Amino acid sequence: MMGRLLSLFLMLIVSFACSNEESGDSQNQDNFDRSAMLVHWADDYILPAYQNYNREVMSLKSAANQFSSAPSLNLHSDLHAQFVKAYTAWQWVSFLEIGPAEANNLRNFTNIYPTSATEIEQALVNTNYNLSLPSTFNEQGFPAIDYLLSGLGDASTTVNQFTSNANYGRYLSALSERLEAMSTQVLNDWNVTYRSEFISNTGSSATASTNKLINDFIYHFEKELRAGKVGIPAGIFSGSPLAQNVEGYYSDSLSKSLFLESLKAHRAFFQGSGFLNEASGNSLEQYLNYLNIENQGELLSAKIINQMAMAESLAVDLPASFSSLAANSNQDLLVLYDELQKAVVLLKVDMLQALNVRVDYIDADGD
Amino acid sequence: MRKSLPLLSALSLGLIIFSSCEKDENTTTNQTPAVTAPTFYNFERNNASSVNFSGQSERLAMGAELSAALLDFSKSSQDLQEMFANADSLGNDVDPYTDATLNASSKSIRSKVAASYELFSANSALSATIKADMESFIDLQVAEIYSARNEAASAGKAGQIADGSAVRYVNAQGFEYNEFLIKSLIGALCVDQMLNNYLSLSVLDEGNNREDNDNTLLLEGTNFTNMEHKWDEAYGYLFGLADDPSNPLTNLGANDVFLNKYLARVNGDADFSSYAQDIFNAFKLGRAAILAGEYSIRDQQIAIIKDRVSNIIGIRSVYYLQAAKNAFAANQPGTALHDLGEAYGFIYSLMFTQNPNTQAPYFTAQEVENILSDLISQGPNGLWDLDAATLDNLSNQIADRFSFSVNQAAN
Repeated sequence: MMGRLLSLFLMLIVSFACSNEESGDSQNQDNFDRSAMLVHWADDYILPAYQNYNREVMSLKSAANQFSSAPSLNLHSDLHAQFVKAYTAWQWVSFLEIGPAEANNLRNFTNIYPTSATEIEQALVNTNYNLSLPSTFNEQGFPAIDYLLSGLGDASTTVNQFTSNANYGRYLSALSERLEAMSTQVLNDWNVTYRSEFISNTGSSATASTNKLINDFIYHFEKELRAGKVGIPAGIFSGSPLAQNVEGYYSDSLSKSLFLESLKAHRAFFQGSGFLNEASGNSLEQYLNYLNIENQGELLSAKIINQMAMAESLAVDLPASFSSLAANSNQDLLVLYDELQKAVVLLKVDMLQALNVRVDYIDADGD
Repeated sequence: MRKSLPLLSALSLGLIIFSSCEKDENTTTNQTPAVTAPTFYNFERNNASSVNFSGQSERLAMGAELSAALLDFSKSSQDLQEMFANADSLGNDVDPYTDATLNASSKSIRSKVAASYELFSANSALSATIKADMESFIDLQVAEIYSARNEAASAGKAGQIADGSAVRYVNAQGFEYNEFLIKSLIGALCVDQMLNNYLSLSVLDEGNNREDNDNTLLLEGTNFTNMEHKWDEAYGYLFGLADDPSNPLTNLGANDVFLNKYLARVNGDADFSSYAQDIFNAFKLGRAAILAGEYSIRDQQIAIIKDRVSNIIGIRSVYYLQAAKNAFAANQPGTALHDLGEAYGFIYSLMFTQNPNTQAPYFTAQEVENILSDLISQGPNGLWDLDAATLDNLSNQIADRFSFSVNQAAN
């Protein structure tokens, strides 16, 4: 009986300790310069990444319009190359679902996959598309363009289809114009109003910029990188592999390179190395080191970077198509998933605890 | 007789101590050496299973088809009502399902809505009102939402709205009628039949049930006693669609959009992580107790099931109210409205719960009506007009009747 009372008492203490820890409020904020970190994020990563993305979707729009007005094999090849460049640029901004991107539901309108070939075929027959409705998430964005460029057949079949039926070209132009318009809107909002709002929201409450963007970053690592690009096609959540659920499915050999680009973007953000050739600054790695956070005798930041590097080196050795991997050699995807999952735990559990940031999302109900 | 009295009182003292410990440990299996629960819900006699709950599995499967059909915009109101009633408006047989075995079935969802012995055998008026509520959710889904499906919803305007990457369809007040219906049926069908009918002593012990069960008098043409069958039917409303219903916790929440799914959700919360095992154990032990004629053990298991199942409804009511509060704060109205659609149905379901100590629902039908009225009437735009204070207030009202806190339910 004493033992039980004692353990009850201990449990109470533990649960108090837990609830204290979870409150995540601002009372015990450390002295790390969050403000400088926000400026680095905004000026060295976010704005240049959005500018780059915006340039690429503008080029995509003009390539799509050229191809639509005079379909040819050459223009198809140019357009597909530009599609890949824009889709690659997207990987750097995909996790920035904060401020204008969040308000405009940018990611859902840009990159919901698998896309629906059936719904696209139904939609393009009409002339008045309403692409701002959420029910059209899976009829637009990169995955829908991927279908139009590579899902109808080989290049000459595609050119013939676009030549004989103007609906395809009209819909392709509408999709690429929408991508460009959404990107321009988000970039303008950042330039005009949101940058100053973002860098001045320096607190540590749940709605502070640091807390929100860290959550967006981890959410993306967990749900988009680990689950969307690898786990779902590998059948982690369904029991059997879903080879058609990879990113860039119709281009076939795009899925690995998009995964690697996304991983690279996550790592650059974490390490504060900025977008491509931009200046470096203080980010999550420096923040954890400032607090001298160790995990099993090793710097937590180093463990996280090593874990990302481990996933990267595994993926580099895989064939280019995750789709055929899922269908033929799924074990390789499962191994990659497991390495990503280890990184998720380090980020979501250990890092958030160390930074006193509370997770602001829960696993979606799906119901 | 005299001599055995000290022994008896020693025994009962032991029982008292035991039951006071039981509360701490939440154990249900070790107190009664006379009956042991099997590992799986398998019971046999004459080399064949004596378990049967096909009628429950069929109704749950009909509900799953109805749930999907509510968002199939090619359906008419009549189509959907026929799926609800498995009959046309004149009572003629219809074939409204894609699954042929359901079309061949004589069962229906509607006939078992608000139809328990304890709550409705002498309250057919309330039963009729509840059935009419369900039917009106179906009619309004078609009337108010189908026509607006290609519009963007906003306060005061019906249409579709994003909830993350999902799409929700709401009326001008933000009502998601398909959620209202399916979540209300969790109470009006599953919980009501389970707790207020099949686990009611009036039903289990009806007529000569105890004597027949003691004498293993089987129902004609079957392999079970009447009491065994009643117990199985209660079980079927929770586990009737499991891949392996004798071992249902391995894929809890996978096949079933009704009570089973929300047992999985609640069980996934560390505050309630024993729920699935508690309920499964109680069903197994209670069934074994029926076989052994140990009715007091059976009745202890009934109390556990009533407590846990009622708490699931209370916990999810509060969970969704709090989730909606957080979603409004994060400026995600589509998510908030969806949470509130779920909350509406779970709150509606509260009137079908049963507190094992009082044998009465945790909330009366009138109390439920008052809460729902507060939920939808804060302003001209209904759910759009809710504020955090109201959502907290309603959450507290509900949690106060149960032993969980708002925080435990919310996270």
